[in-house]
Amino acid sequence: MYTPRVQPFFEDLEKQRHAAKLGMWIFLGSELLFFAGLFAIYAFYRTLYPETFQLGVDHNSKLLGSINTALLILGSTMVASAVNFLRLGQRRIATWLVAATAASGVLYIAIKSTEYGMHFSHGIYPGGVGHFFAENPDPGFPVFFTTYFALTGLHVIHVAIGVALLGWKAWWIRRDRVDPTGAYRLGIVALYWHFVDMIWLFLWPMFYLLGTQR
Amino acid sequence: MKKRRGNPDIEPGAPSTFGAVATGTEGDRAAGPGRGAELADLREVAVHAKPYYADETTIWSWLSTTDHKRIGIIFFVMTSVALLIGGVLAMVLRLEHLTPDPTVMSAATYNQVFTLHGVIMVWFFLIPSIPAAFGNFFVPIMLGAQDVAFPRLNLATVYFYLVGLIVTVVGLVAGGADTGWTFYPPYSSQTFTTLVPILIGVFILGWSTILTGINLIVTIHTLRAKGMKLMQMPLFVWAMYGVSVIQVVATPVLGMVLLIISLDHGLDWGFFDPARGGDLILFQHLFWFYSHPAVYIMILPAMGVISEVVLALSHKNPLSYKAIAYSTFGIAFAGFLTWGHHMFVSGMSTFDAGVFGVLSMFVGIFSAIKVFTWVGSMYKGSISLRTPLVYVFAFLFLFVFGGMTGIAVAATSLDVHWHDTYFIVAHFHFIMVGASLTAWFAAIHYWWPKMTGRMYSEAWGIAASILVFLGFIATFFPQFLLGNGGMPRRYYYYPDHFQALHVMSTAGTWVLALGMTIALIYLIFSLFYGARAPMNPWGARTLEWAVPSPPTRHNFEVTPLIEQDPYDYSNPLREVRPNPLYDPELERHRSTERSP
Amino acid sequence: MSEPPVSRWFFPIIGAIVLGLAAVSLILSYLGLGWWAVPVAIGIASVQAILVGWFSMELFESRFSVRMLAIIAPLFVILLTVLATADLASRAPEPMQVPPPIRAGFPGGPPQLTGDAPGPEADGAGRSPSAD
Repeated sequence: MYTPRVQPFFEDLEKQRHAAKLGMWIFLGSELLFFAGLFAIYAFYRTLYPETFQLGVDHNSKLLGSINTALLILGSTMVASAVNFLRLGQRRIATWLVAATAASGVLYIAIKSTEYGMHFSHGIYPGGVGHFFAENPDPGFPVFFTTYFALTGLHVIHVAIGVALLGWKAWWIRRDRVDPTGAYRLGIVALYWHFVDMIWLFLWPMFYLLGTQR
Repeated sequence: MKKRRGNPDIEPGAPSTFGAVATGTEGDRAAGPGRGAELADLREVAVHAKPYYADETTIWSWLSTTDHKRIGIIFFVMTSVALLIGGVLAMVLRLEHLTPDPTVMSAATYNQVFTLHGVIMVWFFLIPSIPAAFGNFFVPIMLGAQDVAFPRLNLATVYFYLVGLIVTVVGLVAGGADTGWTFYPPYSSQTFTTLVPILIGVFILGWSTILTGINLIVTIHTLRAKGMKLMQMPLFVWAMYGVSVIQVVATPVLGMVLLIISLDHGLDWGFFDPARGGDLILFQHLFWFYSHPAVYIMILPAMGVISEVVLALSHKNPLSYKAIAYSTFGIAFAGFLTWGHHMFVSGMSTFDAGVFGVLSMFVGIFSAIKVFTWVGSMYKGSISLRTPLVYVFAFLFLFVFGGMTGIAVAATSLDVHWHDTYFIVAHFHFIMVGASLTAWFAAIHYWWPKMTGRMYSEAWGIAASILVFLGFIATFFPQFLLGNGGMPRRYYYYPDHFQALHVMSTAGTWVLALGMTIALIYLIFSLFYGARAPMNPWGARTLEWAVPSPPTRHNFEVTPLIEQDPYDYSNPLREVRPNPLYDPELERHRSTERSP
Repeated sequence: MSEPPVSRWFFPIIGAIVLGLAAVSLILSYLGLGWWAVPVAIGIASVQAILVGWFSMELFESRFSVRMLAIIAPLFVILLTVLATADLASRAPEPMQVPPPIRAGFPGGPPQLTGDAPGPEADGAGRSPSAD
């Protein structure tokens, strides 16, 4: 059974757990600020080209975007439950939930790749390259789609990192037979996954819902 | 008394310099009856404890160290190398300006040199100079802790810095950027120089900054010795806390900006290309949202050092501890509200210009509170005019001047004339060199005895500090006059009537370099021939002066008992006793079975 | 993480609520909300984020230092976005967006506008260069 060891400079395990949690939260804060620049770019350009942005949003597939949203929310739920089950001592369920979350992430990446493929086939590439922009010369379209690729691309990279971390944790719980006091280590990776989910909860309306149907 | 072996600092019969006893002769309460035997046992442990740099002496032990003190020393060396590179670039720049026409390099090279000077000085020297070196070394000791919260992460920050520096230097050698350290588009999207390695190098360095910030914040929250509340931490730790908050919040935005410019320059994504709907001012908003707080990253640690040195060398309690602690966070937060003052003439709306102009003035309030508190703390103190204090006086003089010119340029109507002239160059060099670099020197001279266990020559110290101060004024004061007269910055050619001031400024750099070289020489000399440092050469009260000079591997073999405020100069030096809540047997057991 | 575990249904219920809010947002996106569309969508997303943060990320059992962070970081994002967008929104119209008046008449005389081209007096902020 794996029981986490207290480092000698920590007063006790509780302090060490709090330190790990605080450290991960601060890191997530910095990640939020990393995305902030792109959110500001979106808000800025949307104010500059309101109608063009709506048309651009229409171009994205609401269906695929909503499926992705559901996948991430489901994954978030599963990984939070996994931490709970690990605290309850039920390792097998926890391992399966973590693996399932990782699988949901893989599915997300697959759907996202499909979407990118669809954009490429319509002649939409980042940087305003492609025949779509030749046919639709409104200057708002290049910035919309470049921002779209940047934001969702950065997000999907974070999803991929999360999938790798979750896969590693699933294997770790099983191999080391982690006991409830070690649940906080899974909890830290779960925090990262929830963050990835939260970013998407904003990206989804920005790029899939706020179109001209409104 | 047992004969002591191993530690040459201790004369037989002298009280142990080990973490339990300070060198004051008027010990207050003697250890209670039962404590004597335990303290004697601890002294036995102390005899065999080696200084942190002698703990293991292989190269691998240094490359893989998780000891925050060694990491601090490594950062100190690396940032000094960066200072050397950036400084040489600066001297070459000033050489070029000796004549109005081409002097030593072409115009294209000139652009590359001032860009690299800015990049290296800002990111590889000024930002990490105090937090990564002195912050890493002293924050745990000042808190009574044995290490930072995440020692392996700390080691990672060393390698992020190193890799970032190497990648940037590779970019420099491969041709270097010529955009200025501010990378404004559209030029940065279109220049033919090698921009991407430099952007990547700085991006990697940003990780070092962010992770150091995380480490320090978590250390401050979780590793304080029992009994030390947040309002009992030394002011240097408060400064490190403030700076870490800024680092964690602002640096990621820089990361995004660097990424976007890389995409624009390398892959032509055209985020800010007007032909593709982009807006150039947006870049400036994003860039300065980071870069203005970045200048507070450069000054807050300097202020933390000044707080320490002022109180230690005046042997006096601070006029108001809370004023300095709260002002630190005041500066940290207010610094985020002011970025638009870099864009007054770029095309930003007049509404925003007004907002930012007003907000920019607020930071001055907190800085002023600090200056008045420091000066007030010195009043009626018992002042030892030693080298660190000379640097502090230089800091106060130059910071006030630099700060006041900052308030002046915060007024939009004035900045319209001064923007992009040498006036601005002089303003920020007064702060970055006159204040930050000076405080860095103060930190070196204040903490040298603790870090190295050696004393440097006081006479040479003061001589070098005077040369540095005079050289600085000779270099940068003429630049205020140049800027006021209309000399633009980053210009290769200039009208003949500016030449006298330019020559004066260049001569100043030679004096400045001489002063810094002398400092380098006597500091290195002291490593081999300097007198051994006592535990508390300044008679200061913060915890780092209650451990041996230099400290042992784990700082405190027993967690210290926090009985007094960090700057309690109203009482004589007293013994720092072990915390009775901690079982010495358990402590010694824990101290002998360390995790790697 | 160090606190005792909660009921096994706790997180599934939270997840269901967040998913329900997503469904609401999706349905609302088909109704023409006009100007309200953006605040509503971002508002729902914020509520979802708060639910995820408070429950799934265990802020409800965290210390104050962690909660403070979770409040402050989004404020900085808002600061950057608001002030940058305010710049854009408060800029005066660019001079050349107003087409220059089409002139007739003798040089040096007052411009005699043809057609319905706007002249320099037509609007306050946007001034086209009147003298050339």
